[in-house]
Amino acid sequence: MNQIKRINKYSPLTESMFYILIALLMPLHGYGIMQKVEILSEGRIRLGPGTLYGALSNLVEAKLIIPEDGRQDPGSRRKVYSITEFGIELIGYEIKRLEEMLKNAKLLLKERGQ
Amino acid sequence: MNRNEDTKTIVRTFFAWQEEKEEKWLSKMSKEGWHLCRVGFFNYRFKKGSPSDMIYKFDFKVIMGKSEMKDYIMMFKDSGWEHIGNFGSWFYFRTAAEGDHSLELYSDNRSKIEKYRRLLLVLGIISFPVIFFSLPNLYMRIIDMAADSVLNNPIVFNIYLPFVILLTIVELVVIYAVIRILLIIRKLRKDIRQ
Repeated sequence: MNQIKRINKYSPLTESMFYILIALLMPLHGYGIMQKVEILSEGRIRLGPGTLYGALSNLVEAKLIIPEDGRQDPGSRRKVYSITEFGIELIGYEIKRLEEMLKNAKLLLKERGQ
Repeated sequence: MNRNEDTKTIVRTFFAWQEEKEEKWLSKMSKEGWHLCRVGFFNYRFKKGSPSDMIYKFDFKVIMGKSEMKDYIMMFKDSGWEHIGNFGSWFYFRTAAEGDHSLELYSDNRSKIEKYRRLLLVLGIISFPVIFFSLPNLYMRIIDMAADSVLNNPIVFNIYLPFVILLTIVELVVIYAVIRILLIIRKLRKDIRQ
């Protein structure tokens, strides 16, 4: 029960937050996240640096991701982030929510004959 | 005010609600070949170069500590934004108008609103005590002094009164800024995109 409350505190995620979170299923630094999100969305989403910087600190504060201390990117010394168990749980919840939305939208469009 | 042929310094500042106008003015300067190279205390230094089409954007951010600063600047640099300098918590960034990267520092409304909330918070922390404690106190004293007819005292007249008037004007500007920023936030919230 408590866990649902905890998840509801962060769901629904914004589009940027959702993409950042799923990008971090594999540990990445900030610039890596930007590139990955752009590729995943086929160029539709280009995260601004201000948006990404703020999102990362909010996600860390929410304990959805953690900065990996001591595991900086060796060449560039950029901070590397990875997702937490709670983050993975939230993604699972979001997938169900998005699937429900998709299902309903398709269904209603079909009923309308479009 | 020219230091030499290649650089010039302009004394200037901007009000929080005129941020976009200031960004555009800096773009115009770059188009004329004057590129911002240092942000000073109420002044800018420009360097002469070839005219180019640049976009300037400001971020408002309270940064604590050197390592946070390094991470912050690096993230902007990685996405194609050059950090020129900062005036207090206003950070100045520049990028080429054409390029294969985000031409906005904030790519969604949610985070844009967060930026203006930070600005409001800082303005509030700085001026709340002055508006609600210092200024009422200072005015009470003026009323007392008027009753004792010491307002003609040269120290009171030449120093105390002008100080109180100046502080009042500064705080009125802050209140005006807060209203303008609240209107910016309201406009962003009406945009149904997130």
